[in-house]
Amino acid sequence: MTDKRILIDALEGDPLPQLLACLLSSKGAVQPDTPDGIPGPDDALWFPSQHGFLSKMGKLQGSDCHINIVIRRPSENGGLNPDDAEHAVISQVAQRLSPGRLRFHALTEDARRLAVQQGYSDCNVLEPQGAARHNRPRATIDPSSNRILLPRDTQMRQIGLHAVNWARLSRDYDFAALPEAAPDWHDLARLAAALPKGPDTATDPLYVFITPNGVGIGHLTRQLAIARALQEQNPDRPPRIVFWSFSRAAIIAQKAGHGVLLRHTAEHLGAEDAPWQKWETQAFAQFLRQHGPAGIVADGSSIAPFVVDAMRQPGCHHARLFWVQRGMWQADADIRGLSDILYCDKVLIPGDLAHEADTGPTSRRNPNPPGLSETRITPPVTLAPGADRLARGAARRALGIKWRRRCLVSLGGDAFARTETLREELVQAAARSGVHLVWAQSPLATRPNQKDGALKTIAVYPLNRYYDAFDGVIAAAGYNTFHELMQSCDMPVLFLPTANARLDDQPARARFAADAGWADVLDPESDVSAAQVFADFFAKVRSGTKVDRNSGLRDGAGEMAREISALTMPEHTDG
Amino acid sequence: MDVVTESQRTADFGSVRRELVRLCAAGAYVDAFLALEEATLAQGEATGLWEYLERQMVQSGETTLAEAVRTRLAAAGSYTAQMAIADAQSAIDLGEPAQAELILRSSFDLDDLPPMAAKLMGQAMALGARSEALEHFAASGETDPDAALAEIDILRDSDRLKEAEERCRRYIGLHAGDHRFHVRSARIAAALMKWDEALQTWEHLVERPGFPRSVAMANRIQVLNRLGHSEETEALFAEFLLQEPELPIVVQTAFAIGLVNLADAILARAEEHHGITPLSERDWDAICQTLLQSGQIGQVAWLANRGLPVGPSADQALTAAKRLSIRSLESVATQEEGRRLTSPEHLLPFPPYIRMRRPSPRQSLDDARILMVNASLVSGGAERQFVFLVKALLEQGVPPDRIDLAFFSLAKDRGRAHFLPMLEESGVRVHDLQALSGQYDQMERDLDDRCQLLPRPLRGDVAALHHIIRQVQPTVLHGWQDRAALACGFAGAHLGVERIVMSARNMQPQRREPGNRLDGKALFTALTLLPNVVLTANCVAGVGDYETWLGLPSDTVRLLNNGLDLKPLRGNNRPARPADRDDPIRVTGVFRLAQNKRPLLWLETIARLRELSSRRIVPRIVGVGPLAQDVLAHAQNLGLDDLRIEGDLVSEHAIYSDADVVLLMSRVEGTPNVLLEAQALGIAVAACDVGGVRHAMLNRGDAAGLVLPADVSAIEAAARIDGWLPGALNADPSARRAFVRDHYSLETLGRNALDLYRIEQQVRD
Repeated sequence: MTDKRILIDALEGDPLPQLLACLLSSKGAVQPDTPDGIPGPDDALWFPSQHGFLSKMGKLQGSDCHINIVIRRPSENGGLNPDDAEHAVISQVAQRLSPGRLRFHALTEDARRLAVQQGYSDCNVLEPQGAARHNRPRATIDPSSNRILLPRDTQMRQIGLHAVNWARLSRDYDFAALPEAAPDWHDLARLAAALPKGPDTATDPLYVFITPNGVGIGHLTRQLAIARALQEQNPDRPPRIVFWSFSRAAIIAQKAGHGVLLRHTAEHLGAEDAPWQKWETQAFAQFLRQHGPAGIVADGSSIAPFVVDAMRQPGCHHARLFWVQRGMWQADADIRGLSDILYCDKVLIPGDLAHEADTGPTSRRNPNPPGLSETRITPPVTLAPGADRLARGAARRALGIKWRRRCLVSLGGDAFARTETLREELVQAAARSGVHLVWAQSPLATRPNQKDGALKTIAVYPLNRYYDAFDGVIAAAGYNTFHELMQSCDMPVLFLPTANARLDDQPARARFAADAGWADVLDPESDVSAAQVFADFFAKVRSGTKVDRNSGLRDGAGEMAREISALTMPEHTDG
Repeated sequence: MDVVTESQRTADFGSVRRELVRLCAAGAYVDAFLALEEATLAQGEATGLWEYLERQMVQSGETTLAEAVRTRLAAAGSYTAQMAIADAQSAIDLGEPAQAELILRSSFDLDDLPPMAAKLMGQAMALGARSEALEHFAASGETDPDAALAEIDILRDSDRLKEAEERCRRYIGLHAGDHRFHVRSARIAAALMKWDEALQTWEHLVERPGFPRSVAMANRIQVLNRLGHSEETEALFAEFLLQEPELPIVVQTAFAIGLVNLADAILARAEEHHGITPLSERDWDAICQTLLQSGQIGQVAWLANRGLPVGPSADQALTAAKRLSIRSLESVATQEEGRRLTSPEHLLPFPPYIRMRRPSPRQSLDDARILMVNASLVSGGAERQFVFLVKALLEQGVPPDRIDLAFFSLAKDRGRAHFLPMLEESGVRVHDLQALSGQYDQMERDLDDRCQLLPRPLRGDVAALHHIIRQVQPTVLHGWQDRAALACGFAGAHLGVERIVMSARNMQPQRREPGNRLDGKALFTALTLLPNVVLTANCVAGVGDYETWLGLPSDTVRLLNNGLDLKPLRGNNRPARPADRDDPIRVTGVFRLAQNKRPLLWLETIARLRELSSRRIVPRIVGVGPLAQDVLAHAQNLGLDDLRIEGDLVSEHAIYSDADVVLLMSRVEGTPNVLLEAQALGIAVAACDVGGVRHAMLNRGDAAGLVLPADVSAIEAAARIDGWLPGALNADPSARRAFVRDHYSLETLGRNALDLYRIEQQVRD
């Protein structure tokens, strides 16, 4: 690589590298300095502090690059800054290096004056170019309590001093340090406040969707729905979408025309979690620096640590973070992830028709500090097939099934072990009723079950495109299937909720539907036998019963896309 | 009984022997052992084969089996010298020096030990902290470098530094290629304060092929730093960093010279890169030990929480913290959080059972038992004051058997017993805590855990004090100067001593050493808030300085003025000198030749004064210190060829008899005894306005002292002195004597001390 690079040395807990990356370049050219890499002669190496420089000096002897050192003022009050000796050592080092190789900078005029007193006669103040922004709310740095105070509406919020990238924060906030804070904090605040008004909304937006390795494909399906809505809402300039996917079903996203970066979890690799997190963080940070996405859309029960860590790295401040956080968690679900709300710009909660039955932690207000974020609840999000939905005949032809009473059985991926025990009972009940079963194979299923060899099996995505081919549906009560069926189908539905889901309270959702008369449910807690439930259900299917659910299809994905666009696209912000 | 014929026996012996050799060659020692045991051989023949088997086992490293064979031989009454040596070596390897010593004592005549046995005996005794070990090492030191080093180390450990120095010199000649003797030589020179020699030796090691250059540089840096040669320190440190030294050495050196931000940055980098370029477990262990010693327990917790191999010492400390329910360490996630959790701060506030203690009651002299503690008895003003305090107490009627004195070290060769002769005849008991090492009591679990989390030197000091406090059971514990004060406060508070007095000197630690993270501020504050603890300073300025620094209300810190023993001075009272223009004016400086005393400014002031004054100015300095060479060189440059420098003078007569004026130019001072003593003799005094100087001078009349601005230049100082001198020399000296007598007598000091101790004072007739 021969291009001139700007390499920034970053030490944990120092916000200056984040601000420097914003100050020095938009994207691409700024990179973090690597542990063992030797900079080339054209590279500019930046050390955000004198001690950072000294701690790495020995490794720079093999390089002729220009070295920029920001001379900092004390970051602690009370005389606990024995920096004089450091300056003297740097002076000695300067004498040993070729003339002019070291360049010294200060963050403010006060800092520069002090630096000159300390012997850096040619020190200059780092002046941001371009117009600074005005009339923004003020973020107040309070180092003594390790936090930043953020005014939001009439409330004062707070966030950890190093919780988020300061350059990211500086787009929305002015900065000031509490008067009693040590001088360095004032210097940092001044620089953060003076950063120029950059392109905080992208002209050629890119969104990266983080897809976890879930039990089913619910995360991916929801994200595909949002991605499609984002592109449909901007037909003239459709944003690019990339999936950072840990889901093995990522091929679906690729088939939908999106970029896919297939990643591997520590579990996939058999790796220790800590080093895996580090590598994944570096990889994601590199992606953020190179591509500067306008938004990161994460779907899951928490924000993966590598996402948060990468966004804190220098040059990774461009993206807004959106968290698609489905509700209906089990009452005993691990709720630690809810605290990740503070890292987000917006938490988007896809509505649940059964929300009245939600008794888990998501039924209440998130008790964690909200940090930067706002929360929006949208209508249910489904990947509606729209015009692609096939009419009954076309659907049956496409699936190759004959003109008989057909019932779709869609029980999710291989993970649904409990329902395996019902399989035989189900098959026999269908046969007794004269209903023919068609088994949907999950994209996550590794291979067809041998027992199903004599049965009709289909493997299509999205499945809801073909719903009209069927006279009844037996399904798990996961979020997506539930809402697809309840919002857009009128055939009888029998839910077989799985209790295996780590978070999703499928039984509650299914019972809600049963109570509303929308569907039948095979409730393990009920006294009614499975054989009886199946018999009753197949009787409805056999008779061609139609169910009026009256729930209507609402466009939750479109609303989420609009929320995302509002923060990331010009036409949504200028007004 | 079987009868064995000669031919059968011979045949059996031969076959057994052949079988034994074959099995040993095959490494089948257990089979060989069994074969020999089962053979029915006569004792004389069997012994030889057993010995053969033992030798083979030793050579092949089968030490356990060899031991079993030796036991069998010993039981049979056949146990050779080689076997005893092997058993002793084995015992030492197993960490059982007493067992090794027993084996050797049983097997050899101690007056005539063979070399290998002598060496092992030395090792065994050294491990058992026995000074007799020396003799045994001495026997083989000339030919065996390990024995020679052991001998030197025992001498060093016993603070017999001059002997160690002499042996080291001898052995360097005999084992010239061995770096270790040069390293010992440098360390001994530093301990003896032969700084130039220490520096030269480290410099020699920097260039010595095969010796790690960065290690030698790091040591040289630390010596230079200690001498206050900041420019050289910084230059060498820059050079050192360019060598890419190993991280543990950089971290240790950076902490040693106060570059804590740099040390933090290095740690941050090492932690961040550990997943990619990991440090060894040994390196992390070394780094964490440095952190623990520097009170950086939070950073140790941070590294441990990140899953790094912090090493056994750190693990032990963190386990102790867990037992103490210090939960904050478990959640340290970032270096910044770690930096904020330092020791001893995270042990504070004290547990309720300490904080709720009642103020100590007044006690009668009969019930009192006073334990006074200081770091040492080096030649210094504070140490002299310590001695005066003892005298003052005795003069107040405290019986000598009610007073115990403890010192962290009284090593003579290090100059730490300078004032000891003045105490030895007083009848008080003197304890050298260093000499008690190894005799420490088992601490209570809670205190032991707390102790493990303390930084250096507080940790060792508290451990040492624990023993003596338990032994003496004092009702009053008095720590003298910051180091001993903090240790006494901590140990005394935990051990329930009724009354604790912490006597700080003249200025808070940050003023002396800006940026020092181990200034004890939080501990001082917490201790001062305890109802049975009182903090004192020895001058008005010091009282205010400590109160401001610790954020305490005024009148919290008590004043305990210095005291002066006026008796030896009485016979030395001299009349005022006539202002005869022909007489020279003898200007004497009495101070340590160290940066804080500004000896070079003192010389420059004298040089300027000579230019200004119509009188002949004769300069003289009484003192020693690291800047001695610099002072001589600077005096030459200034043309002060007649400057006399006199070292360790003890008697007031020797120090002051040749002085018309005593001049100090110190940057920092407390209550300078020098000025008090000089005035007690009627001598005119001048000094810069720092610390308690102003309060230690007569401030009215012609005999008043001259107070110079704190940051005065040589020109200005000389001008002011020149204007002040004629009047001061002609003034009545008795006014100065009266001033000292009224404010700084031992009687006043003794009364004030007993009041602080809450001891009822005896009514004197």
